[in-house]
Amino acid sequence: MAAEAAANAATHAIEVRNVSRWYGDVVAVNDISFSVGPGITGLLGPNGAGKSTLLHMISGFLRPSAGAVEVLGEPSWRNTGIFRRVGLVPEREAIYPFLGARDFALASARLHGLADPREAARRAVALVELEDAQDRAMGGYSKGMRQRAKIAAALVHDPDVLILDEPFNGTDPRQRLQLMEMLRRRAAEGCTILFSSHILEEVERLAENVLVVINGRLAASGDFRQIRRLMTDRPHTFELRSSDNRALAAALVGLPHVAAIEISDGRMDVRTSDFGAFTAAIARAASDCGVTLRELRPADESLESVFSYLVGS
Amino acid sequence: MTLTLLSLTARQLLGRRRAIVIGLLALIPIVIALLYRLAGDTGAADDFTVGLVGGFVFTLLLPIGALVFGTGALGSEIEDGTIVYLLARPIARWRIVVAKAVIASLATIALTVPATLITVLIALEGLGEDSLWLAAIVPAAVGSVVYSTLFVGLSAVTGRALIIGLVYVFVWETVITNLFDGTRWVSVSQYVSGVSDALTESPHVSANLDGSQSLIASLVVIAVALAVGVRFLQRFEIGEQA
Repeated sequence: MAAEAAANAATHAIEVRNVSRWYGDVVAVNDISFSVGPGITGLLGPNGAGKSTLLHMISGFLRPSAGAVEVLGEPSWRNTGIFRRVGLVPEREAIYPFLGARDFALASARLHGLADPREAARRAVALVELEDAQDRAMGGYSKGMRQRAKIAAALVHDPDVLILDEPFNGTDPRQRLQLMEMLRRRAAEGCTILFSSHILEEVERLAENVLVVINGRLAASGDFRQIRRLMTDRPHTFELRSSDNRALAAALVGLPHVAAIEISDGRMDVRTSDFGAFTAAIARAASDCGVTLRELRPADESLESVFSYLVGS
Repeated sequence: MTLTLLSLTARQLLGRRRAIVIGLLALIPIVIALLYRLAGDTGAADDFTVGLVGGFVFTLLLPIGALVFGTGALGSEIEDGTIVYLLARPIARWRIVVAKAVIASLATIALTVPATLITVLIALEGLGEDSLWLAAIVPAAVGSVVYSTLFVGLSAVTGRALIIGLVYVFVWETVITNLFDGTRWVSVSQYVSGVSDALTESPHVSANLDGSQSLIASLVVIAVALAVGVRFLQRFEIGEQA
């Protein structure tokens, strides 16, 4: 049993089992279970869906009303010890206005009891590219700079698990790209990164896996392209370009899983009820009618379409 | 680690505008003492000094200063959200609460003790007789620690610590304690008076508790406030939905 738990902790840094949280009569999170391993996982949902409540429970700042939350094999509630290996970037913009980014990271390093806090702070500030402003008081920072200072303070002890609540709030596109690149590097080094966002584009660009939370429930989890393919009750849309769209349309319309075809501006949109069968049949159909297939891509596999399907369902 | 906690708390506390405003309050007894000397009628200097220290420093400057610094040390961090930067570190909660109480106490001592000493020196034109100066500054220091720790603990329990503290100072200590004798055991101002009375033979100073009773009660209040503060900080929840 203990060996199993240890093995589980090694592969899944974060374990959420049948967790609910309610405030009086309001259910914020309802019987959610998932696990998160190394790599980048995006927690996605509309405002008020329960994302922050979940992150607060995972980081030990909120007691689950039911269920269990474990981080690195230990319960997170009232467990300050987990922060030796966990970094947390809270959503609130609050900072110490009198400190510069370097002193903020330095204070964090000292509170972690690191052997060389100055070097750790220097490294963390460099990771978020805030060296130029590191000695200016954070009270005068822009929102994006404050976000980066908060991330530097959370990274100072080189955590195995990084939890970020809406980390890209207020960052400009260049800062966002830089932060995403930095997070990808950390994930490649084996760090478990869980971040929340209500911006689909951010999650789509960064996350390998998504957890979609809607109305306090886990609507979907995993690779969002896989999630889309599993949604068999929704027709899939493919966008095609070929040497003769009309001839290809005539060949495809006879296939049992093709629901609709629309031709416009040199391109053809095909709706199919069976993703696998269509991708298997399209090459043969094109070959049989002597048409060269120039482009074929799923048109509704973006996270946005998955999300709108889930929200609408 | 502890030095970092102390330093962060001190910088946050002393940078606040209300800390500067409360510093101005400390000038009032000094100005009153100066006016008293300038008026030239110094026949009852001991009586006047005891009245000024007991009536203004102990009952107004001391509790209000401690309330501002005590609630500012922890309550303001909880309110503005920066407490997360301390709680999301592998630090025992008691260290945080003790650091907050130490800095709040030192800030209150720095506010009250010099102001009390200068007031006494001016009003008595020196240290005076019957160790009156000692009976003024020692209880000011003891009261600073007790009140500040009490308000640090209170601010861990509730976000309305400032209001509850004001009610405690102006309703409980000023009105209720004077109406019901048994409540003297739960009044920090009574402990301050008790310590003051124990340090002087002056007939102008009197108290409902003796010195040792006051010190024991002070230690109990400090211990309970710290324990409650630690307990609540251990169970601290970020109080927002979704």
